Amino acid sequence: MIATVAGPASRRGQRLAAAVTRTPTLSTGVVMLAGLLAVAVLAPVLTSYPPDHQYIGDMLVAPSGAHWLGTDELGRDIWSRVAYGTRTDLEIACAAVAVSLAIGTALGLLAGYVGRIVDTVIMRCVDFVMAFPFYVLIIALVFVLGSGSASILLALISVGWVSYARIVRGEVRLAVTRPYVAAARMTGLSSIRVLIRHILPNAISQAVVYAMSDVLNVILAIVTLGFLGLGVQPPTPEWGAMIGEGSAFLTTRWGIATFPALAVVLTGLAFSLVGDGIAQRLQGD
Amino acid sequence: MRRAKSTRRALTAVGTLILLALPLAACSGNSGTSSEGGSASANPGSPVRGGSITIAQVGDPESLDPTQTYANQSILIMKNIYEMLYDSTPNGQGFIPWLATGYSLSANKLAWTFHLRHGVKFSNGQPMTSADVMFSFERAMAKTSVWGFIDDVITSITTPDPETVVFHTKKPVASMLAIVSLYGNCILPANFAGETAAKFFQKPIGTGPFEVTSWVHGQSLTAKRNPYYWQSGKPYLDSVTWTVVSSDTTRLLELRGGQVQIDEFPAWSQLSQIKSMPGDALAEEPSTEVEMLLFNEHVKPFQDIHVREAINLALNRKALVEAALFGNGSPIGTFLAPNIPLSSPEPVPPFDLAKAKADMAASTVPHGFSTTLNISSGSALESAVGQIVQQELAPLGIKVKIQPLDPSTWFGDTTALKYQMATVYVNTDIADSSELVEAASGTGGNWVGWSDAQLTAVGNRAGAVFSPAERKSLYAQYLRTYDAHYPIAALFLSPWVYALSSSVHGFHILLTGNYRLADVWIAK
Amino acid sequence: MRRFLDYFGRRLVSALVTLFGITLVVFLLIHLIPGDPARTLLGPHATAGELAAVHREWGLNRPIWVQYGLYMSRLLRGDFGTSLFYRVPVSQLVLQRLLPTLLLMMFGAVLALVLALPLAAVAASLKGRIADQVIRLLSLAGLGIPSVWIGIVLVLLVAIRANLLPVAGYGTSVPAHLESLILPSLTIAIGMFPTLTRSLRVGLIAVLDSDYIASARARGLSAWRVLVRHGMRNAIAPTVTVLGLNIGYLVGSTVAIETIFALPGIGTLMVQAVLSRDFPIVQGVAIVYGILVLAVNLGTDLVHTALDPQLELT
Repeated sequence: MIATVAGPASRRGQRLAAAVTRTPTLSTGVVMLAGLLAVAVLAPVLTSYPPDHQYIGDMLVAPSGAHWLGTDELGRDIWSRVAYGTRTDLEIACAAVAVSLAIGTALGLLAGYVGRIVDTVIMRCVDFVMAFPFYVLIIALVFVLGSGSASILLALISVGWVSYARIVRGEVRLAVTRPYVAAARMTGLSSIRVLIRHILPNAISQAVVYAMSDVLNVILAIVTLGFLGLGVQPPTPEWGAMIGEGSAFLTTRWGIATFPALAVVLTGLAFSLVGDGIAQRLQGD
Repeated sequence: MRRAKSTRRALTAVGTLILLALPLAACSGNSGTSSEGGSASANPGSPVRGGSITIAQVGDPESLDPTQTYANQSILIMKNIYEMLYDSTPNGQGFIPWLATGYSLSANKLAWTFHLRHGVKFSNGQPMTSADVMFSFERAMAKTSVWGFIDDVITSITTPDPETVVFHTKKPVASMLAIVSLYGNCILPANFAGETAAKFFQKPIGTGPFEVTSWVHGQSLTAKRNPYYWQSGKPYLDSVTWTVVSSDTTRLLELRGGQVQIDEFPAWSQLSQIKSMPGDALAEEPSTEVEMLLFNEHVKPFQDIHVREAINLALNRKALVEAALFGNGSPIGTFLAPNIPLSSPEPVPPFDLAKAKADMAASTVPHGFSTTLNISSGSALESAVGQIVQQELAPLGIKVKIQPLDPSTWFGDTTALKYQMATVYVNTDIADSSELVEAASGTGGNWVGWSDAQLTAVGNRAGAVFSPAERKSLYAQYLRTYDAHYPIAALFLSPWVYALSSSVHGFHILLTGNYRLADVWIAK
Repeated sequence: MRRFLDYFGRRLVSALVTLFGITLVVFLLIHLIPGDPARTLLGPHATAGELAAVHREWGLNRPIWVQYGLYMSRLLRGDFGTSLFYRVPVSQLVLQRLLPTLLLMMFGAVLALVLALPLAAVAASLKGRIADQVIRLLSLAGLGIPSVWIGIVLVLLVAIRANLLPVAGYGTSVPAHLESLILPSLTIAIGMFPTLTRSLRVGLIAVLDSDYIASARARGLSAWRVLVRHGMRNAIAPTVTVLGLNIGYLVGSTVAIETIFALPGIGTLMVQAVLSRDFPIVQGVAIVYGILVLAVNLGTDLVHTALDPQLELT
């Protein structure tokens, strides 16, 4: 997963709506995200064909009035598959990131705040997960859970929580040295309250910024898995599988692979803009 | 990882059974056709000596031990470095003497005496003798050999003199020539010419036209002309290199770019492109590769013949050929391809949805059922077939869930009958109907968990009788009975196709899918 | 210095423990998933007896903990075992296939830096202006381009139009190797450099805006020189972490690129070995991966600390 570094955060965010409109990056990103969500939710309305129906007589048709983006090698409407594919990819990606965020934040908080043994154990787990061959993991998961979204999700979460744990741990350790935390402790607040009220908000904002770029990384990972034939079960539309299947036709019907690739780029752009926007807001104005 | 094709391709070759041979039939002469498409072609002129070619393979030939591998990419190489006592005629319908010059059969039909060709040398210069033949066969008959189950008809081998070998069989075997021409029974130097087996197979020594000079696993294997080759004047080429290129697109582009001269495995979707490309051509030959849908008869709904027949009638095989093979193939009604010697054509079940629905209505599951279809993952073809089958069975109320499995798991589950429906590609290793028929009957491992003693008896008899006419009619009877039971849905027959640069001449594909590089030459 | 050695020692020990854990888990996983390599070897006609014979030959008939014990005892003596299907020593295969992948990763990372540095420098020093906006937008958009798509497009372009470079493969001589690595490295670089550009830009801006730089500027030093002499070092620290994470991620994720460009790398070896259940190779590659990732992690941490002494070594 390609990692990015979040800018330093110096204070908490303001009212969401005001913040969003004031930052063009964020507002553009949010609008794009809303658009993507709309496509995902409204796919049945926006498309004229079911995404997995094969029109055997109409294979490899060029974009036309009947099929806006053309058809693929099994005669399926590409626009339908790209649109419904939004559901598949977004669902898996968002679920993977959300759960990774939750688990990683929890473990990172623990590691950073409690320290010592707990910290060492968790960080060694981090090392272990990072060094473990991903491919072995996913084959094992496919065996246990069958091929499809469940195993992909589980595989992504098992390796995804690591980045959040590291980020949050780093933030927590930094925060613990701050005077306001010492002050809060001295006034007798329990550790947990200190953690949740003073440390967590700042730490988690960094994690959230990272999460935006992580969604993109997860989508790219799903795309690569689909390309390698390890993705969701056919005929479920998924961008990576489409790129894989379509790569054989790049010289004849380049759209089969390129339109889903474009979808990935746009999605990535949307999430990155949101992430950048949040980071800008956090840096203060 | 996309398309882990090496194992996939290996495993499609797995469905192959050995066909017990055609009797007698020395030659047959007429050559098969090598149709060259594209603008290349016509008059190749006469062979030119010299030059090298590079061949792009779809997977890695992990091993060159003929008793331990049946992966296509390995076989294709092995058939150019090792040779057998007999070999197939170009059209695959007969056998010609190769390292042997002839044979005689004892009166009780239990002893076959082969006379070895004089003057054959291995690539290290040592002459081939009967000791080498005995060594090679005993090795192929061993317990840990892939071919043990075929060679077990041989009880013992004797070598009365250096140019004679006698095989004693436990019962009369009509297909002895097919057995000895199986690549697994190729001739290696006795005791590996003094090396350990492990070292030997890294740089094997054979009597074939080429000898391996360098091998980088996973990348390429280079073989140079065998200076001692017994067919004088051949091979024309100085050397051949096989490279591993698992991506379809990349292989074709390497052909276009001149990096390779032969693409062993062009994707079906690429064929029309290749035909219209100047400077490249297709070599196409009828094959025996049949794609089938298996029904596990240990699983409830498939025990009902109405269900099996309904599925057969609901499948639009023409559509499958269009979509999965891009039109490069033909529908077929049985597992035995019509060009396998002694086979008979069987009618293709018609595409009749109304009758299929009527069958379902009369079955034990009139409202349909849910089932899983196991396919080998990483194959665009299997994926296409799976999805089309899924769509075509939906009107019958049959909800198919496609389960892609990695090749090892798919293979293990299929052979252990741990599936509900599965797709599999079968072809034959030998030019005779008995191999596939034996597989269907289950003596070597049954595909679908059904067997019928009477039918098996017919198949066995066909393998034991010596008269070709009688064998052929027995096989025809077998197929009729088999197909009437609908234990499988045979889908289509696909040809062997190779993409070549137009500078390659003399390239010909045999029935078993391999090519003889000894006959190939290169000229602009 | 002593603290440094202390830290290094501790990290090394924990790396070894982690490595040990990885071999154990990989061993268990790969043996417990279905798929019998003996069956794959012998084909569908193998009888139970024949399968058993091969199992005995490969030592697969013993209980799993015995197998693991045997494996580890051989490993500690430096014996990585023999490939079930290739029949050659695992160490030989792994080392041979490791080189193309390592070269690929190295060239890819270097090329990515070469692309990212100037772009980030321009963007940072011209912050807010058109050039900066354009670079930022391009980096944002570039983040999402799937590298598999880039790879295939590059192969197509080169093969059809240019004819300058070999389409794919690895070649047999050192110059051929290097030539063959150009396109795949470029693919990786194109995939990596947007992130690096963004990260470097942020780091450079932070540095450029700092008091330290302001006072240097006030003393009349030119913006560029200030950037180069004082900005780079501090700006690079966080980027090193990012680069390290990316390289670490690259280990094991070069498979798609290796497939497209027909590179005989260790990624495809691992995949093939998992698919055919060639246990010794899977184990061997897992160890190599582990060492690589752990080494890269340790390396980046050390470099990061060297560049930014304010950070604590923990």
